[in-house]
Amino acid sequence: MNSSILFIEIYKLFKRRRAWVGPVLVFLLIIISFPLTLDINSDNPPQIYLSFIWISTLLVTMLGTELIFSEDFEDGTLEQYAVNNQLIEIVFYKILVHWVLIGIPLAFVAFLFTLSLDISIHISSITLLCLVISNLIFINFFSLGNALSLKKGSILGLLITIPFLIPVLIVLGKMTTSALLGLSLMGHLSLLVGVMILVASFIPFIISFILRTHLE
Amino acid sequence: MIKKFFHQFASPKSYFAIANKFVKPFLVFFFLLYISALAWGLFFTPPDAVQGDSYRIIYMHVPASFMAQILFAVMAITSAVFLIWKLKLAAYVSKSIAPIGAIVTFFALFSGSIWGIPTWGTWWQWDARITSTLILLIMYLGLISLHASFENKEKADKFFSVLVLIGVVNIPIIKKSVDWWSTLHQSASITLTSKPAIDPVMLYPLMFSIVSFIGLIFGLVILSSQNEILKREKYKSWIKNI
Amino acid sequence: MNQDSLTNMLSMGDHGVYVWIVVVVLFVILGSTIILLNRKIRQVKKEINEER
Repeated sequence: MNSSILFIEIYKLFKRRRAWVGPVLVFLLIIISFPLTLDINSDNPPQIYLSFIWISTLLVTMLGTELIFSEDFEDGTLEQYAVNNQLIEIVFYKILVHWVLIGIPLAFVAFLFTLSLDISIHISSITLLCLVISNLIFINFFSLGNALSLKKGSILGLLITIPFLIPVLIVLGKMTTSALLGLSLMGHLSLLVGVMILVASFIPFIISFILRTHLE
Repeated sequence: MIKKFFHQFASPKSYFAIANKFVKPFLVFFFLLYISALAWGLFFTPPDAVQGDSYRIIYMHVPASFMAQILFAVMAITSAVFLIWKLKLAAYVSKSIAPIGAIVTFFALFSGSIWGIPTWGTWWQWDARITSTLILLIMYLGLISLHASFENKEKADKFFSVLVLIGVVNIPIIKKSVDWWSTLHQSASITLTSKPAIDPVMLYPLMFSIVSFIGLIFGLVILSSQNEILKREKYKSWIKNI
Repeated sequence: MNQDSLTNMLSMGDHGVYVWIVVVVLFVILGSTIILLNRKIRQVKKEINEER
């Protein structure tokens, strides 16, 4: 563990305000435009709103992680880390910092949105929890996609990573249905946490392998 | 020892020589075999009691959807061989499977949706197997565009193989989760373990068509890998002698 | 076999159209793939021979 690298990473992302405030603002705008395109006063089932939140979080997370490696790759910082054998650490920290600065704020914005709807506070807080967990999974996979499609644009990254995220989306969808029916969610939640731990511990290794191949 | 064996006998050069000799008779043989299987299925079996004559699409749909998954597994094996032993030929074969897999998967979807019109009354249904086949098609297309996006083909091979391996770990998970999401489709009618639920009169031509279709598609894969070898080894010296 | 039963066999009742569409598309796809690959291979071979 090298805490100075972590602080450098936090500082670097924090300094680029557009990179982490931007996605949150975009998410806010999308959320504002959703009730405008759907008559919110009519009695729509709450699944619609929740499913909309899952999908738009997925896409906005992609936007937020778009430049996760490209800047460091271009100015040679990544190469330096590779020489010092710190690539795996840096990948891990980058994902962590993006989760804290982009993933968690997004989850809170979505939480505020669900509060404005006709949904019980119980379900809103479950939404918050699910989003916090699933955002880490999203960010891990999108970082993988961005590492693969480094400097090739984010469309390619989306195309190759969204298929892997479909199981997560299905779990989220199943969760909302059971939450609205008032069933126990412990099974789904532990599944999601298990996937998160698995993904967060394996994907950084694959990413560092890919980055090393890029640097060869 | 194994490494030496691979590098001597599985070099692009010797593979190309063997493939060049056998690919045409191989393709013609399996093409004729498949046509005869199809003729048997289309004309010399009785119509299905429930679905009438439209069930005969099974002799094209089932082999294609079977191959769509088998090709991904084969691609995973060759990709693993490439990443472990750095065998170039494996990467070439792996890359040339992807377009064939995409075509076969597309055909499986297409034939399924045509079959759906007379039997279900709709050409598309959001059920488990259709959806996971569609995801499989998107994965094939993603792999193709990933490989195409790199100028440096050696790197492209590595990334392609990594993505194939991640994909092959994920495919069972995707299938299971999609099954969980929706369970409308009839379960698979042929399994290796239990007694088939389909009448032998239809089963034998179906088995025959699956086997001959596998041969036909592998013939296509060999042809496509030859193309890949020629393209990639254009400037090698051995290639001047063909 | 008289002509009537032959047409009966080929038209396959009400749903024969669907079967024939799938057959035609399958063979168009297979045939065009083979032709395309053969053409590409021939083209690359020609390029190699020209460089020699």
